[in-house]
Amino acid sequence: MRKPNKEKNILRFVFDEMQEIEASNFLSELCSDDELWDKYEEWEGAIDEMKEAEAGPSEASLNKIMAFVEETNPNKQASKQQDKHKGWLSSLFSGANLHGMLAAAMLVFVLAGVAGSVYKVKRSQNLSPDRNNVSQKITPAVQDPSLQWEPVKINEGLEDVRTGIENLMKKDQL
Amino acid sequence: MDNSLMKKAQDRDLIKAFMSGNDCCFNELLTRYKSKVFTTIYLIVKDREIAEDLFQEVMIKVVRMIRSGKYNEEGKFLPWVVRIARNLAIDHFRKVQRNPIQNESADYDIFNSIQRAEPSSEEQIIKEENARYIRSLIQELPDKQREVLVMRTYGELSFKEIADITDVSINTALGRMRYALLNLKKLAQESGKSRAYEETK
Repeated sequence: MRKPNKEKNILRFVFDEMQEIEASNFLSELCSDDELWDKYEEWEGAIDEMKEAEAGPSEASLNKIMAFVEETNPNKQASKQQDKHKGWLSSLFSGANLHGMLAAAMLVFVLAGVAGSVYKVKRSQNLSPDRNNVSQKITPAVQDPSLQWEPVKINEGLEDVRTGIENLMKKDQL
Repeated sequence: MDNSLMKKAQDRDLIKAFMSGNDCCFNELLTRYKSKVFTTIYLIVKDREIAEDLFQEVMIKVVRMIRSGKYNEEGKFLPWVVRIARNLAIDHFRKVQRNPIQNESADYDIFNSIQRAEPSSEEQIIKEENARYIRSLIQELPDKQREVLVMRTYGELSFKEIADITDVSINTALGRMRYALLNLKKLAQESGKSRAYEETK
């Protein structure tokens, strides 16, 4: 039972997992025990050699990882978004489109001017017909026989009343 | 961040800079720990292709977690990544519901073809052969012993951290590591290729 525990301490010593005082005491023990020292040398050498036996990943794996790192970089993603927005803005204001935009703006102004003057002319021409139209709109209503009978009837009635009164006055005079 | 400054920078400073959008800082972290993380995964899953996939998955998860502010500054970066790697490796095993097939020949083909492509001395080739041999020995260890050995040696997790992750006592974790080293020597002797291991004695 003593040997396994001592060998476990060799491992803790080799891997530097002992407190300073404990390590110092164990070193003294190692120096005084040849068998323990041999085991220490054997294992330390084996561990060193194992460390030399490291294998490396392939370049392809490393490239894939770094490609992922670059793709998912939040700063680059944000700048990509900005570029995307800048993209259409800058393309809108790019040299070729600027000329196009100016030409389009000029065309709009010209068309607006033409349309404005046409409207003015049309409006001045249409002022009297409009008035006529107003009267025309009223006149047919007056001229409409179905609407006219009432005023006619009133006149007739008034006439009847007038003649009636005249007759009464004549009778009174008589 | 300046290149030389980045090399000297501490992990936490690199992580802060990365969080503010500096991708180069993550590249530096990747350069620092890629071999340790990859070796940990590779020696757990014992298959290079799966290890490559899991390595990518781990690192992408690490990126996402750092960016979402889930990285605890108090903890060390590498042990944190290794814990993620171990969890994903376990998830992988659960998915396939079987142990992966050991494929050291694939390791040889891919890994060594890359090495051959570069101008390397005879010493470099021997070194790589030796490394491949040690990895193959580690892969033969029982799962629990291998897990502790890999997480302590490559993942730089303390025995206490390993004990917490694997839900055992520190003493058990130390015991597994001890058995792993004893079995490693035994395996080397059995395979008749103990030269590399014995040289260190």
